[in-house]
Amino acid sequence: MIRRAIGIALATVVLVVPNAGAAVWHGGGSPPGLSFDAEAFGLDGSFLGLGTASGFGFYGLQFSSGVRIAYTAPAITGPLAERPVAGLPLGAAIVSLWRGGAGFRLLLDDGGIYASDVHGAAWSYVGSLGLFQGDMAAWAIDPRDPAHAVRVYTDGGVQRSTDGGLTWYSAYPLELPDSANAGAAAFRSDGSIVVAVGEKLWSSSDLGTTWTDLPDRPAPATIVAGAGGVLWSSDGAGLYRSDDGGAGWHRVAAAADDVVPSPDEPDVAWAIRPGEVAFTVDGGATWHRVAGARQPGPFGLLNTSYVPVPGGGRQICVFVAQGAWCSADGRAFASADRLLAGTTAGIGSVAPDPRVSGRAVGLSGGRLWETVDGAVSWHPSAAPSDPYYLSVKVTRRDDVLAGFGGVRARRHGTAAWRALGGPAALAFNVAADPATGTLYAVVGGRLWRARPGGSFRVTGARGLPLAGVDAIEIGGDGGSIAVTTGPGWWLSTDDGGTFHALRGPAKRFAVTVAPHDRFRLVAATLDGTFTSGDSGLHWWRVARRYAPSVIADPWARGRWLAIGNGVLTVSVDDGRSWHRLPGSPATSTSPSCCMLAVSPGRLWESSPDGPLGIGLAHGVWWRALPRS
Amino acid sequence: LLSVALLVLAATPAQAGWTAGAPHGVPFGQLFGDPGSPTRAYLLGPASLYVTDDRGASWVARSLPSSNGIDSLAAFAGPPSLLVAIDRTGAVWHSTDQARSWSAIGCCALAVDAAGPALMIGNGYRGSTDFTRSVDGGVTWTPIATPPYVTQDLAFAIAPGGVVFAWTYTGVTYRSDDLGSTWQVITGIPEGAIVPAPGIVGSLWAGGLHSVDGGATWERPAPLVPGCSADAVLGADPLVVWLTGFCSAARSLDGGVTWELAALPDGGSGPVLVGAVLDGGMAALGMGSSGPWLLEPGQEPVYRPDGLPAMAYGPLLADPLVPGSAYSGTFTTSDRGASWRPVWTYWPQSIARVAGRVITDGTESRPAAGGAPTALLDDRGATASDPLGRRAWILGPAGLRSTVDGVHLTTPGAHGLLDYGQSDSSEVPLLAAGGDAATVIATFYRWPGTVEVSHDGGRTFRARTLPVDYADGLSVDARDGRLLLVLARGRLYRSLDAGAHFRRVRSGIVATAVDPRRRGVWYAATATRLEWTQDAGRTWHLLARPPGGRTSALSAGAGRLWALTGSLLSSMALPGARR
Repeated sequence: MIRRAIGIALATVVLVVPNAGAAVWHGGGSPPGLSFDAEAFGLDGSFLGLGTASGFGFYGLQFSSGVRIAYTAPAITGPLAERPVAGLPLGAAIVSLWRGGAGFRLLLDDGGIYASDVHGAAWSYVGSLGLFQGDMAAWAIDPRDPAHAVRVYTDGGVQRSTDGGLTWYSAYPLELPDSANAGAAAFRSDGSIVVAVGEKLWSSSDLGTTWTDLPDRPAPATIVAGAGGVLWSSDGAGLYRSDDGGAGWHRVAAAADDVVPSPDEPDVAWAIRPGEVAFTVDGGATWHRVAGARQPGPFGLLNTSYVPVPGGGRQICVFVAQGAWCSADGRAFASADRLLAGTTAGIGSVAPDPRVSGRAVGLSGGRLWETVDGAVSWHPSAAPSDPYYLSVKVTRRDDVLAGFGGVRARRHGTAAWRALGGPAALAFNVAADPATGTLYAVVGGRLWRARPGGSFRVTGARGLPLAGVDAIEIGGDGGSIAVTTGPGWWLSTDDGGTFHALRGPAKRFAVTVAPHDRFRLVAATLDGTFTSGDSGLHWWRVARRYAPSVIADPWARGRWLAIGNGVLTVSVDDGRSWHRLPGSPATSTSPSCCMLAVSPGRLWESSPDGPLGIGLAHGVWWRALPRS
Repeated sequence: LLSVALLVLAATPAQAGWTAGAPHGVPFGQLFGDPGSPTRAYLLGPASLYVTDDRGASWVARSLPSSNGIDSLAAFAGPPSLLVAIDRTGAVWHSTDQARSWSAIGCCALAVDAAGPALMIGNGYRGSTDFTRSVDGGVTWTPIATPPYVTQDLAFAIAPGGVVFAWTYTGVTYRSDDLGSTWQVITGIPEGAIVPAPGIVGSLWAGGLHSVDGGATWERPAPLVPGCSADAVLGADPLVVWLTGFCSAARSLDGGVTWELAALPDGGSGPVLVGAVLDGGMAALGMGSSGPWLLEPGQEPVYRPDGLPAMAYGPLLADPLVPGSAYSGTFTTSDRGASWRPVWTYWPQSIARVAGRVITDGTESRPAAGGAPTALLDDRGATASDPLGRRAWILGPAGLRSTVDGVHLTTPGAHGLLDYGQSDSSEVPLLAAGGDAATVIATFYRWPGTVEVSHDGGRTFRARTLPVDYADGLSVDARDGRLLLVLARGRLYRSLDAGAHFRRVRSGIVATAVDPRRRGVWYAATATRLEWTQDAGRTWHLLARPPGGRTSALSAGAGRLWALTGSLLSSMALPGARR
């Protein structure tokens, strides 16, 4: 019994050793940035950005806890003030935000329409658009008189409201084309409304009591009303303008994804196309491209919104995750640094420099950032302007930036970026061998390799799937390459010569290859962490904890680090046993927390969550790891 | 020998006396008044019909005239009083004896004039846009004009003076002043059903608004909550109007000039839609989530289920603290099931009991003795309490919470508990508690099956692999947190070591319960038998055959074992323990 007790005591000592001595995390800084879920400018040019607290809930789906935070500023130049939002229902997401009355109006996805005070912080229910009460083909709320609203159903029924959506009355029905189920509607500045469904257009100056048939035209994707009653519309053939309420249209430009008219000047508008923002001040007679809009998107693929700033100045701002850019009078887009000053962005991908202690680069808000003081402060780093960045890596020789413009590299200490060649699709998944700095990418079943200082060259790898690749893992001193297309993994242990399907420990798993052992793998599954010493022929479960992010430390043989559910663990025996480490102040149980990276003797931790993940600390942190 | 004999007798099924009962009501139904009697109303269920002649105090089942399902009923004063039913094919049926017997009259009806049974609007067949008119109660039909635009999904209402309104809920509204021979589009009609006031030309109700000029102008009665849809129900006297919606109920006895508000159940948290005006408008019967309620301004609403069918539903929870008390679906009983009262106006998914309060879905708790609810979490989650009601846990999107008073929540830590957000399932977790209020276990509908076990009240969890992919039910022994029960696809698995190993102990099991005070005493139900074990599942014995139909839920607490069998809720005293 005594021997057993001593054994237990010894085991306890061994288990707590890795946690002994409270870990000290350093840094904590981050680039400025915020993610708004909706933005609008008041009549006086004041800014309102709303933030929705969201995450991944129980049901495996992203849930929204509703609009929680209002950020206001007297102008786009800031400074931002943060206020909690009151008066909005929980769980609803934002459909549209616009200025109205003394403050702002908000449409939520439950159909509710809310009005705010001037700060956008206190909201009150004013009506409902009833988004889910039938098949609605089009709807519009008059931005100048938010009491007026019209909704058009796919069966031709039309209803109008004169009290902001509190009560709806029947209007005269429209004879919609058969099978028409989507259209557009817009209020003009004189209060008349134009509705387009299919190829048919109508206008009404009495809220739908009577309608005027307008000439048919190819199905417009959008109809937007600008200042002075000007209508803008875009379809597959071009961008059109109407000065007579839709009776006549003339083509003013090539087709655009969207058109954003100025709220003040009828002849001023911006046309949004992939990779381009064009600007006109003469009603579309001439256009010029606004510099600084990035390819393609622009500014990215998701959650991009273009908001014109009222009050003159011909200014438009673009809001994307973690960032904002503005252009005035057609000048180049410039980051709205003054608006975002003092905010903290989450940063999802941090690449520490393996050669220079305390240096790391990261992506946030569509820009490349760099720290040289251990993540205490970050500053923008010069980067090619054309791509939308996907990832950044730092090898012993280069900083490597992958984006839609391709993969580029710059030698440490230099500012010039050089293209690494190969198809642009290489950029979607670039992996770097931590030992040699060789880059790998897979496209269309072919493995591409770029030696340090060289360009991408296709290899003769066999056995790779043709499907799009989701991730590449490099290890075994560059001799072992694991590639996944999602559910399946393919593994090569001969430096990319031949790939074989990898049998995993579970239906779904993610693999990391040991840096210096080409046959040793660690797999993260929902049911815990597994390890294999024979290229996946046999697996052993070494931890029951779910840790979606598992990395190996190439500078400490046998050391692995993992994080999941807010628990940071370390293994010093190639994953056979795991011990808990105190997480950084940014550690949370958020599913997107956190990203781990290592540099010689240091563990880095960062979270892509922006400040809207309420209660989370942000920034990039590092702590020392013992030398092995 | 005598004591041994008594001991054996105490454990035999013959002594298992059941008390069977159930809440009664019709969760989905439509009420209709009868102008021929101020106390009579009809309740039309999905496939059933009931009548009350005493303001809902008692209901009697009647036969339906058609197996096709009834779309609508209309009652006329007579004499003789006449009940007109239109089934889903449009067939018209008459009854002059309060639905005891029916006569087939004709076909093809869509709507009947509220002022009399002779005038009807119909069509050749359901879905047809060839509309027809009958002036002899549906015996013969004459074609009428087809409205010019939208013709699908039209509803009709016949107003005094041969005026017919037709509308869709998308805002298309027509009016005919010649019984459908011609139609005009009209605009400015509020969203909602158009209800003409019989006998008063130009008086219309729609969407809670009132028009006295045939729909040219509309006014909103003052007392209704803005933004809540409301429909009008008129009494035999067209000046008597009840308006009910999702937020409020109001009555006017003077055609909408003055109004009195009527209280709704549970503080108005659930809708009660008035369908029958009684006593000249003094009261009304409305349908809530559990059945009919009698509403009367100045009075508390009264649940009126007597005579309606039993309708017991889960979740089932035997009150761990109050003998004879249990919760089932939206109801509770405190007298062993002899009587039931509705507690919630929504259907909870999980119920827990702690201190003096009952928690539903983690979103609210309220005093078990009745009273106003207290809001807990924003998001719904699974909730469970230990079998003696000392502590409850809530597992929701925000994580694990626990409470000892049902009001104040604490975050126990839940280190190691799987982040369910990582799952790709759409099911909610299962949660169970026991082990002297120290053990809480959770599982999720995911692959591979895992149960996560905490023996420190939820501070730390350890994942254990289940012997099956998915679990349908979880239980923890009330006293020993190492003893776990997992029910999966009819098979009952038992673990004696906190989930390290599971062993299948029974098959064909549909529900389980644990004895709230005795270690290793568990109950398991097959479809028709109730078995129990006193040795942690090593041996099982027949305990009883519960009355009613197939068993679907069990719960034990405060000296009684409750079973949900078919639509009945039955309970028996917990059997004596083996010494």
